[in-house]
Amino acid sequence: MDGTAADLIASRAQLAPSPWYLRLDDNLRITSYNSLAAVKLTIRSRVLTLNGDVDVSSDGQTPNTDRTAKTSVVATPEGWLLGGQVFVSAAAPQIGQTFVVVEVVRGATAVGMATQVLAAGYVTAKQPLRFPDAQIGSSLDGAGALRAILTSTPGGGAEISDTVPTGARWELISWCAQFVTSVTVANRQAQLILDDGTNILYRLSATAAQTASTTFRRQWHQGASSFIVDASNNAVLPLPVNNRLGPGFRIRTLTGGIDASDQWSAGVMLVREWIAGD
Amino acid sequence: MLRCKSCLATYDPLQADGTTYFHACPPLSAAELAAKVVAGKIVLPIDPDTLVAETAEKAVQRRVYERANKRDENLPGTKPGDAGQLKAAGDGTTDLGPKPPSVVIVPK
Repeated sequence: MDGTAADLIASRAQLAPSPWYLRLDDNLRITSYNSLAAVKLTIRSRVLTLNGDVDVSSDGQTPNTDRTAKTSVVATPEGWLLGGQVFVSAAAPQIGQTFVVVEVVRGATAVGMATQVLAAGYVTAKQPLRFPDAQIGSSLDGAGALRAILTSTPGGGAEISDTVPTGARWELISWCAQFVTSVTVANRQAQLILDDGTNILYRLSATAAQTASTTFRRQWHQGASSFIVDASNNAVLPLPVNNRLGPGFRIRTLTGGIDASDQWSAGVMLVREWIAGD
Repeated sequence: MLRCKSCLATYDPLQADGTTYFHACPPLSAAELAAKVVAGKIVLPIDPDTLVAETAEKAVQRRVYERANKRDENLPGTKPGDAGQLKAAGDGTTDLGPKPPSVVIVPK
């Protein structure tokens, strides 16, 4: 290293107002993973330039709504990154719905070489993500987004099945649906199954069967102690407490004795949701 | 609302909270599997307990029977290029028009 370069680095180190020195070809890359419609992000940063000015930038990003990665590059001038933030400027995502990663990249394109992570975490309408001195968060941190999900209504004589979406992790808190049996005489035995797409992880059915021409509301809840049927044919069964279901895991019924004219209604699931870390 | 042409389920692709719903066809029920057996589409294995062909009831308890035309709207991954892709299109969907409202305001 020649004296000029060494002197320059030494002088920058003495004067450096922040440890994050950006070359002219260093920029910020913002990557979001989001599940909610109409979310918009605003990215603001402050850079102390070599001539002593504090350059303020404001850029936007509209994340994808299917949990796929959306990346954009915020061009920065040469100088010291003093700070910045990413905040939600449209819609109101919950913790668990909009995860953001801020990195320094060399180059001006989204595929530039990432050299340092500055921040990672969820943003909500009330919670921005600051950088560069933020703690790096996991997408599995926090309470998750509380969501009620309406499933498909299956065809006659068919089962209900829902798959945890790609890029999501769920905790199933409760599941309920109505099951109407036809006039065909048979004992129906409704089971709820949790599987990973292949292997069954949990399977529980009612101890009492449902006969012809009846309507039961089948419910599985965390915290239910045992099988209960009330006078209105509300049948309650337990779910594993604190369960976690990854992308591709299924929540499905399997109904013994089902007739082609039996009919499940759409199910309603209460889940806690995160952006999956894998 | 959409109807899946593969399994005849109906669903709304956009949930009330503004998130996307990804339909995936369920495995065959015992009633559906029994109909496939009658139609000669599949032969069930010998039941080791009874030494005759398994019933559809037992078969669906022992293994999963998927549709050849299964639709799965989930994405193959979360990379940028995976946006808008389906794992399996199946036989497609029929548009049933707007979903009826779940809450109706009755005039005074």
